[in-house]
Amino acid sequence: MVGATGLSAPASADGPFLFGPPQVVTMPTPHSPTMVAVADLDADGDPDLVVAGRNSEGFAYLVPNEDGVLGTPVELVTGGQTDWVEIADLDGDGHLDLCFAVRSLRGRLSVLRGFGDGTFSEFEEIRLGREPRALVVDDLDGDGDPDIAAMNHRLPIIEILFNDGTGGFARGADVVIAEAEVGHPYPQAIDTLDIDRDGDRDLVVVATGASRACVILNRGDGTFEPDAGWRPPRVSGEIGGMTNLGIGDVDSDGDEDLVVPLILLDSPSHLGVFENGGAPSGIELQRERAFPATQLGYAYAVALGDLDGDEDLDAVVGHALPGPVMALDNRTVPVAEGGDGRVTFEPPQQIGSDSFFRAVSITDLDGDCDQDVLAVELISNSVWFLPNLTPQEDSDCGDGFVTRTGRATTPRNSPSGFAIDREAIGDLNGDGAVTGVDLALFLETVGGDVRADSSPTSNAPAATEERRRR
Amino acid sequence: MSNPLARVAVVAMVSLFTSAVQAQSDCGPDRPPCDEPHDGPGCLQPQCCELVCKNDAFCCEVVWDETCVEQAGELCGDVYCPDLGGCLEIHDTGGCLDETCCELVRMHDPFCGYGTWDEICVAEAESWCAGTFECPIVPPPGARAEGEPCYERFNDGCGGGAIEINAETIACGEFIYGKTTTRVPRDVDWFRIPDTRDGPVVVRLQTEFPARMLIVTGSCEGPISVLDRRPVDPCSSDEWVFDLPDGEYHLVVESGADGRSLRSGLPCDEIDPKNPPDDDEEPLPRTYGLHYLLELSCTAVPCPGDLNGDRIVDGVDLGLLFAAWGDCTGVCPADLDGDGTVDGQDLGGLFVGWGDCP
Repeated sequence: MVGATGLSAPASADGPFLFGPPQVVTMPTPHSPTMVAVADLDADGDPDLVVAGRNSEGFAYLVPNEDGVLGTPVELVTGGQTDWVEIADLDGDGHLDLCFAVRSLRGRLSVLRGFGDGTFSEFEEIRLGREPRALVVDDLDGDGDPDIAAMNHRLPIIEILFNDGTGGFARGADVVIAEAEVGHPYPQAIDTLDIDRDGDRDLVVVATGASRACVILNRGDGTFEPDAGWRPPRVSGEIGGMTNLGIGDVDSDGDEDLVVPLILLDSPSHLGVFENGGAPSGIELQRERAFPATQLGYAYAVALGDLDGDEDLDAVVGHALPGPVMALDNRTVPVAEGGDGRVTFEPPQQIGSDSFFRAVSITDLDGDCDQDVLAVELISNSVWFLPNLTPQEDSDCGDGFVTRTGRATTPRNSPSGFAIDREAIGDLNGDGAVTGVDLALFLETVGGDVRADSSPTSNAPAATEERRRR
Repeated sequence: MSNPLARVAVVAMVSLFTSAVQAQSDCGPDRPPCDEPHDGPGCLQPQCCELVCKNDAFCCEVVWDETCVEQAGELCGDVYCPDLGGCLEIHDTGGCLDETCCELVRMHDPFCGYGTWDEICVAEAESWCAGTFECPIVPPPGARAEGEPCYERFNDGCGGGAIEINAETIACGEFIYGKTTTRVPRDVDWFRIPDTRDGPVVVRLQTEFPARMLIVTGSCEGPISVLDRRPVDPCSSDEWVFDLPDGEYHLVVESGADGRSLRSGLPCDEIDPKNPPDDDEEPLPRTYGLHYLLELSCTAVPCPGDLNGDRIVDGVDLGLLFAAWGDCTGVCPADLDGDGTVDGQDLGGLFVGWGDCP
């Protein structure tokens, strides 16, 4: 998540993005990678990667990073297919721990406690509802330790877990979202932000089936107001399907905004923006802005970061079938600089291409203090590290470790054969119509059958799925 | 006994003494599960048992052996109910003994069928399987029919990508005799709550199915919020009292339980003239009745002539008044002066209030 910052510098570094050839790390077993999280897990000063995936053997992978060179993936046993991982010191011992959302109908979190050297304990389970696909770790009750909000895909229920400071968790009141919808809500992504600027951490959930961004205000103690559901900006009257979200101050006005990929049937995919109007109380989201994300494929994942050092947040969008990675330069002129403050993105620039980039992340992986791009390729079973070579406003950045020849990544021809038969998608959310929402729901299923999760391991005492009877 | 020749011989002999009726009686809750070999014929899941025995009579006439188990694995597919274990008890196998309850829960939550009957399945069973399912509601005189055929969608709120909320009005003191179904898209009934004063709003709901009421505020494009909810068990009634601050609110009646929507078990019982069923199409099984009776008690901000409660006196109200012309008894909102007759005085009262309500 990109936090809100006070941004004021002019956008003098705007221009084409330059990225070096990607480092592509292929997972050693069929993994259907779904998400990557980044943190220094072995205390060597470099951020390492943890790659969740729909791995039928119940593995995730740690990809060590040494001075910007990604190493051989190391197996982590999680006990199931995982769609999401968060990295945080859950037990307060000073070492980072891993918390995976295990995508199973016997829903659970899988927690691996870190020893600080890149190794971890055996996983411990925390039981959840039906098919958790995402979670967020943040201090929800204001007591200084990291709590958990976990999201079930097949129940419109957000489960709140309060940390006792040692990694023990007590359940808070569930939060029900998108109840007034006719179709299945099918929540897909979750994050925290302080949308009303009252100092506590609110929740935002993307419910793909309902096509709503559900904002849930924190009362300050980890209990929550009823959710307020917002549809995304319409594109030519069409409601897009949302699969992911990014949070950051894209209009540089000091509060946090939301961006979402929009999957459409009748238009190219877009990047939709919910601009936070900064209401003195409650929520005011303006939804007039959406920008083409590509002419190829379907926008699936989004991340925000300052790619060109001009101190505003640019967007990177991963696409599916085919799967270009596109970067959109933020050209918003903030009100504080005499502009109208309306979010504006340049047309997208392709910085990579494969089949289905299911997750993207922006972080400095090579230590040259500019922001690089990580992209998770579901179908080719790999993670791409796209080193940023874009000239930076800050001259100290961008010319550190990496000395490769700067050039834009050459667009590759996307493989054929992935065209989606829209007629065959069907009304997946049960709202009576086939729309981009259904296509989004279809794409969310690519990579693994949730019913395949049937291999609980020995340290999962409550596991009984191996006794499945048929 | 897996030798095929031996099986044929035994079946031939046993068949002399058994009948198909007897074989069918070997399928049912007093038998062990179909996926376990056991002494004696037949097995627990009737649908699965009959499928296997139709293919291999030995299984229902002699013994349910390994071959029968193998056939069950091949033939039974999604047949999970009933199975061992009480529906209101957590157990580490899928399904439960009450076939109707088992089917209803697993239709909404497949894991309860093929996985384990866990605490979520039990909660769903407690919500959906209790009570008597045959309890037809007789609407009182003066109750207004909801008026939405179950193959149409007139009052489904923001369903269908609506930009504006589609809702009916309900007036203080009015009864609505409504129907809801789980036909796709599922039917939800939205009613705009009139502006009220002097005290709380009281809603009474009598229902034939597991229902829940929601109080919703907001707009379709957003934000939209469910402020509160209240489940009502099938074949029961409940009263819900709440205060609402100034603003626009909707009351939603739908099938479901606390935190969950019911999405099957309530098929439409009307024929869609645009899409009539085939002659040989069997009707879907219905678990509950489809009707509810909704009553709203409140004190509306006076707006003489606003007969449909939409806070504007217009031609719609005029039409309603003419429709009610003459003597009236019981609930009679068009009788503005309360003299028991809808007449010219009421017409005059309506014209006096013409336009937006105060």
